Amino acid sequence: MADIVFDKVNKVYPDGTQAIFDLSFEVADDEFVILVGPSGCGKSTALRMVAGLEEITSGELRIGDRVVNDLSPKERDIAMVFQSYALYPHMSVADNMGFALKLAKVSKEEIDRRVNEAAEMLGLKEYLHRKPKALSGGQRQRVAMGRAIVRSPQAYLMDEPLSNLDAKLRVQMRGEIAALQNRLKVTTLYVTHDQVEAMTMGDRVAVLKLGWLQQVASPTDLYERPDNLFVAGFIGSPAMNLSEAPVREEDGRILLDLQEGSTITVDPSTLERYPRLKDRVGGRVAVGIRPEHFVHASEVPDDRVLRGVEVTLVEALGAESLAHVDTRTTAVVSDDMRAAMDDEDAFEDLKRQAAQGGQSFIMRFAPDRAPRLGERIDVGVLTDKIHFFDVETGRALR
Amino acid sequence: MSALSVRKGGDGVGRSVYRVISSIPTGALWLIVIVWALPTLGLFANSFRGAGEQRSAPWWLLFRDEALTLDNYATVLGTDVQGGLVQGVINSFAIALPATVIPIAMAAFAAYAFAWMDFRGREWIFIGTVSLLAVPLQTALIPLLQLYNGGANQTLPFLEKTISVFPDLGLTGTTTAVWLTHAGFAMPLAIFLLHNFISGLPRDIFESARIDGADHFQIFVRLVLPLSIPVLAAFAIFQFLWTWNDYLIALTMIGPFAPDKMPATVIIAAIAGDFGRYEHLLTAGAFVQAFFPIIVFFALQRYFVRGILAGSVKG
Repeated sequence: MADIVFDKVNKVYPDGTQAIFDLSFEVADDEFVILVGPSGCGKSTALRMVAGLEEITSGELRIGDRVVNDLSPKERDIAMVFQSYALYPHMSVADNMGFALKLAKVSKEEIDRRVNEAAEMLGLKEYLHRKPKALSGGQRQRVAMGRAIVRSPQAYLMDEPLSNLDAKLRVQMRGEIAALQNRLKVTTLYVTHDQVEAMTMGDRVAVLKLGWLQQVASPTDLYERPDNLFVAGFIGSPAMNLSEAPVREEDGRILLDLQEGSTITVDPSTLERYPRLKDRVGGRVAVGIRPEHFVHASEVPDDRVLRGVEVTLVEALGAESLAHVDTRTTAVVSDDMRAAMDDEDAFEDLKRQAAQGGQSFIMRFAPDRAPRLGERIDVGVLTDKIHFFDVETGRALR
Repeated sequence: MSALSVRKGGDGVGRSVYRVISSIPTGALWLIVIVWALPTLGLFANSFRGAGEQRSAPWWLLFRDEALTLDNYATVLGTDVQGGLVQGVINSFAIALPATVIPIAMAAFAAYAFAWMDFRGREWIFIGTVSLLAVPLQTALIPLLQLYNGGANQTLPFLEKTISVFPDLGLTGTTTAVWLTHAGFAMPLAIFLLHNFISGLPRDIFESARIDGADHFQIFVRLVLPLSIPVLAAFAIFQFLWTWNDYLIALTMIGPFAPDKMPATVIIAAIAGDFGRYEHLLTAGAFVQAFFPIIVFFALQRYFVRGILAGSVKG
């Protein structure tokens, strides 16, 4: 096993477009790191550079202390699982899994032993003689995994391996892959655009936006301490509610005019997390509130309530209910938000709402405490849990 | 009640009208099949009739009171006509087999390189190769014949020295000259067809193979060839048919130099004799000639079935 180190890696395509900018981070030995970002952020390019399928324009890429910039995929000793699985259609499952070993001139008995071992691990025993076309999606995915396992390589690279599966299978395989990685202890770099996969599977998550690394942290850190507006808006489902608001100071308390008639007091503990918020008094900041940090107005002091907002949609999910609420807060409309939403239609919608002087917030309630559709309600804000960012640069005010 | 049954009856009429209309395309296809097959059937029937019967009565009277005979086949396969059709069939194989196998083998390598290897000028070389499709074979016949017999020589100006650009291989009158010509002229189309297929194979499996440690040659042998069987078989059938049925090139390249090297087509043409005296033998000759392509077609047609790729990528 080995670590993977990106050291100021850049990728410029022949047509001049740059996909990766000064990427520096490392996947430690045995670690499971997820590379996540919206479409077109360069995450697959980064992975393919590790695999040796894409040339590195500048910078250094090391796998286990070996600079691999100019090594062929074969020499790098890594295994890759493709989004399409890329199984060899004319070969049986066993031959698919043993192909790399066969090319490496490993003895037939050894190949059989290792293929059987991997098949056992993945529950593919009965399918070893089948061709890929006779397998279901989930089984094909397992064969692709098996092909990687059989080789016992320096590292696994996975390029959105679950995105072709249906939702239920995806959840199941998500757990299986994480458990497998945990058991086999192989350095793994896993690319996905699905931030739920990112949050649930990896030891650490690296967030990319348009070729720039935004933050590398554990899933919890990423969720609780996003470094900037983009990470805040991208990580979490439903996304963090973000709005722009003026900051005032009154009697030693920091106040936010969240919307007309609703001024909330920032909890003093938040000032410890975001000390630079104080410098912004008299100016405007971007405020971020997670959906679960809204509560009934009665649960918080009077100066922490968002008043008179209208419920436009309630999604009852069983364990929780998500209320879509029309507010008169000022939407943050920036490139960060566009990238974080990764959905032109949704962004256009946000722009339209902003033009009308409001935006929709999503709030998470226990099912029995959920408001009803069409209700005009007051909601409390847990101001010790909220986040602050610079409106211009998007950076967290820490 | 009665209204209901009337409506039902109307439905019945509509359905039967629909049935008649929808059977028209199938009927038309059958008609075409019959129209196309009839002459062949007539030729086949006539091949079992003597010269007199063939000339005096139409072939469908065969079934009335005529005795069938294998004399025509015995004559064309015997050695007294033009050296014999048996030797001709052997010569045809000596031409058609290399003329099929060699261009396919070379074109497969070339098509893989054009599709999946990066090299300078790839696109232009490919365009150049494919545009050779426009060169008509007939215009090249005489220059090629001169090249095969005499080579190409160039006298350098001022030095007064003659160098051989292409050696004199003395190929005139050999089957080699014929299949070499076929192979060369098949190359642009073969490369074009195979390239279209091979470049359509999913990129992921090539990348996967590279990561698995395969080099270009291993990828070609272990992935591209097995996956390309449908297109290889399809092209093989066409190329075999063309070269097997070729008359012009064989006649030009072998010509009067070596009658014993002539393929079946040329021999059959000669069977008719002066003023078509032995015209009746053509029927049997045609069926001897057609026998082998039919076998090749039925042997390879199952590879036409696509779907070998199913299950490779996605669900």
